Amino acid sequence: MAAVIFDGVTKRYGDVVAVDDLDLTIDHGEFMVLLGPSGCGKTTALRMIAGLEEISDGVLQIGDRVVNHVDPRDRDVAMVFQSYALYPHMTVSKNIESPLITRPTVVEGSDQPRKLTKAERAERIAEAARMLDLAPYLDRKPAALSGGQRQRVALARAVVSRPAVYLMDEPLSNLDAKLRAQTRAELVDLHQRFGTTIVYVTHDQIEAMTMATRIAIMSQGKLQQVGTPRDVYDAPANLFVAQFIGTPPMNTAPGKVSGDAVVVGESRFRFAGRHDDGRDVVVGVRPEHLTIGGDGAVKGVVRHVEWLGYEALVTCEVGADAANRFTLRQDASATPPAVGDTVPLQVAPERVHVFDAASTERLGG
Amino acid sequence: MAERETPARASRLAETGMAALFLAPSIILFALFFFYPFEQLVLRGLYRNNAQGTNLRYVGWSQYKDVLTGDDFRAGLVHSLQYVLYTVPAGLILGTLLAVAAHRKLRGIRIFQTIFSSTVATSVAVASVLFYVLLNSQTGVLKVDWLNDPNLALFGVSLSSIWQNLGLSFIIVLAGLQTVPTELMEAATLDGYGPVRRFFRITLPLISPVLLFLTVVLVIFALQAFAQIELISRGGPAGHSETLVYKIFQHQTPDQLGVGSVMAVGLFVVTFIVTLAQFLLLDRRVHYGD
Amino acid sequence: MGIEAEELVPGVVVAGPRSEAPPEAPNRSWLAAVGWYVLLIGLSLLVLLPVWLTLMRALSTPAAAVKPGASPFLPHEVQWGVFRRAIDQGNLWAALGRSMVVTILITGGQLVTSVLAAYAFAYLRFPFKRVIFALFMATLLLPIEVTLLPNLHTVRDLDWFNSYQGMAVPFMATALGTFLIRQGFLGVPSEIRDATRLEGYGHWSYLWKFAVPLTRPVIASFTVISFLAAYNQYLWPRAVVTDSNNWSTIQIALRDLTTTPETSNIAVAGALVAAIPIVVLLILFSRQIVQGLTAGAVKG
Ligand SMILES: Nc1ncnc2c1ncn2[C@@H]1O[C@H](COP(=O)(O)OP(=O)(O)OP(=O)(O)O)[C@@H](O)[C@H]1O
Ligand SMILES: [Mg+2]
Repeated sequence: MAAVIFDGVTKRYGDVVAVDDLDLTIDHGEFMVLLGPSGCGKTTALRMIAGLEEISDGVLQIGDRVVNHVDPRDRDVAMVFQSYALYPHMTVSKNIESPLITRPTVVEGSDQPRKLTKAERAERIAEAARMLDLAPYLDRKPAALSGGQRQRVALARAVVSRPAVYLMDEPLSNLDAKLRAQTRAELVDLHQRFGTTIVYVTHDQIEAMTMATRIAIMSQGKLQQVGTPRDVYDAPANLFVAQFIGTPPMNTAPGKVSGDAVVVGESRFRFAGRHDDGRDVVVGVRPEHLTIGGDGAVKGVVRHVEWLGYEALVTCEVGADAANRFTLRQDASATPPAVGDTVPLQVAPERVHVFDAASTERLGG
Repeated sequence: MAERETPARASRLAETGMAALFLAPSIILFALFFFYPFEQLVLRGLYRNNAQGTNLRYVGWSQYKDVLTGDDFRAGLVHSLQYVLYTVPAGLILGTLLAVAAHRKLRGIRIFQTIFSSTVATSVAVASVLFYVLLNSQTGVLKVDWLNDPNLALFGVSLSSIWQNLGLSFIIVLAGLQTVPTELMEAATLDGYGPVRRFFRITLPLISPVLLFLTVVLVIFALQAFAQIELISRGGPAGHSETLVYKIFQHQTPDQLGVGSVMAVGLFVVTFIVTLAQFLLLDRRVHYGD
Repeated sequence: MGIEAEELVPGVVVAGPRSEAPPEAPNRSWLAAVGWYVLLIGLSLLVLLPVWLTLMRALSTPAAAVKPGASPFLPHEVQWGVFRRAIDQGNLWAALGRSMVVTILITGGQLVTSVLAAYAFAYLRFPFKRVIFALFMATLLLPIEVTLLPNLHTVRDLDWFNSYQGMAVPFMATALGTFLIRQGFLGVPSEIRDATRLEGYGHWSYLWKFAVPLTRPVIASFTVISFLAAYNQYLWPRAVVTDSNNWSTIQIALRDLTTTPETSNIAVAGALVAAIPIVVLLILFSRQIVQGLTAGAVKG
């Protein structure tokens, strides 16, 4: 059990900077999700923790050890791979046993890791199998398992050595939607039971929001924001985070600072932070904070309506300008407007996000 | 905690050491039995020797010139190329014929496929013995005196190779046919292509890479023909079936070594050209797909 | 997208999806099928004809076989003892034993050297890797037919004429094997290697516990074709065996049986005996043989 600390860690492949000067502290016992679009460096960061990639620059610590040059086997971490990386020539039981064979394992009641006896290994296998409902499959080869079962074998292989840190690289991406939801709950359960540090990589924000204690959002090798799911949703640190988190993404429109307000078209929003008059900003509103109704100062023409059963997504165009399209979320109980209708739009003013147009950083308030 | 610090440089060094260890057996054997002899071959051709094979005298490339333009080498080369000509087209055609015949969903087709591949169970020596008997005027079927006729001897010998290569050719072409997508054939049938047009317009172009590979294999086999000659015709009559390898084999004695070496270099060059052609053509084959 | 054992161990089988043979068109009558069978049977007879004719010849008493009017398609005055005579005269059991020793030495040696070299090329980082690999592949251009004379010189210097090491050692390294097995290793997903690194398996244990078992189909087909080639070798053993009574392999022993047309029945019997081990191999491992022989035809 340990914290993981990135201190200015950089990974370069030739000219490509996969991870750029990453500073991130993953506290002991956290469920940290690394989230970001494809190619942003999530996997690379995770593999550096595992010791599978050399670190080009900076210091990486696990617990109070600097591990830059520590062999993967000595880092006391376990990893669940995206493809699961089960050994196809071994039975489930042998797969689960594999991490216990050559590597010294920490045993309760002693600080000194040692190799387990055969009986101890059998006990660990049985325990992992019980926990993940794998007992009936122990003698099968991976090829004879379903996707979900394979995923559980990969988990079992990770938990069996009771590592200080679990590393998971998109472990759910090969499962169907239903199984994915179910496994998410199981992973959260597992985390609560062991209280071990988990570093989890995904590009799926639902996974991030539902499981993480904190989320680290990355883009192009750079860390954008770290915070609880609430933090990153309610107070995105920059425009990238604002638009990456949330489906459909946050609506944005260009605006200008004017006194203690921000002006967007005809509308003025009170804006607590004081900034220079005339500064260009981007104003963002989440679809659930945009509603039909109000005084009618802003009118939009309905272009699409997507009815999803529990809600409807309505896309409106303001000022006959295709660039000014806004999506709003409407409760299913309300009758959705028809395409072509002109409707009044209103914004919950306290829910408006303001970003600097040049730096894209969030501005006060 | 027992941990092994492995700074990057030390681990690189360890990996290189391990690679050296893993490659050493192959490298030593290759050096000793491939590269060193090749060097010897090239160098030896630069020296002439007296009748005892001693008293080597450096003569530069003049021995190369003499041997490579001489009658002996030319005859060997011509016979080897003739052997290529006799065996390769026949191998391609017969292999394709057998493969097309056996590429069909029929009850019991596996039996026929097994029979068609069966000649891979014979070695060159075994096939040569069988054809020695078949070609001999006293024991053969056709009472033709293949082996004593200067014009027929080499062709007769080549029959053994043609037969022996059937299995390999069949297996390779069949593997090629099995990669032709069924939908393509069905589409062509719907377009009104008959079986013959289908074969020449669709199947043949699609399996051409495989046929090319087979061609190279057969050419190399033909250029290396030795046991057939030794067992069936003994090079005769009067040297009319002596191929290059057969001639090289005859130049083992010390006094012949210089000449033999030059011939071997000649064989290498011919083989090299063929192999190079294979690589160049196979590289292009990637584009055939689309 | 699960992991199938088959996916992890891409054999060197023919590239692309295997297609079914073209189905018989429904409007084809049974007559067409019969016609096709006639063709297949005819071709089978042609392929088997040389064996049949020579077998008949071997089984016949030589004098009876050449009598005017004697059909070459049938045996005459059958004498089964011809096999016994071939075996005795050619000392074939001993020759077969030597062939087996040489073949096993060559195939075993090739497996060891090429698995190790393939591992280095597939998994280890070292300087000049590409150049060394190219040099390995260059040996394909130097068959024994080319290097025969100087190699004989070397073997004579080593005093390896008429010896097992003389027949086997020059062939114990192979570029083809290295290439094929390396391809097999490269087909093992990198995440498998990563997982074993985390679990503490070093190169040596990864090689034997994971890489080799996971490429078993490739290694198996290479083993079979290596065996086939080694057993069938002629030129080299012919050159390094000068004491043919005591050192002939079975292929070379056939040469001593093929002396005159009069005794050709014995030669044929010997040839058939020599083919038996390979026929057995073909029956047991036909799939591996097909994969091995077509390995180059596909992904080169
Ligand atoms: N071995 C490598 N050599 C060169 N570039 C690499 C290598 N591995 C990764 N990269 C590059 O580094 C960047 C980050 O890759 P990484 O695999 O960490 O992305 P990711 O965030 O995990 O993406 P995904 O969601 O697609 O898995 C990418 O631009 C990738 O192309
Ligand atoms: Mg990734």
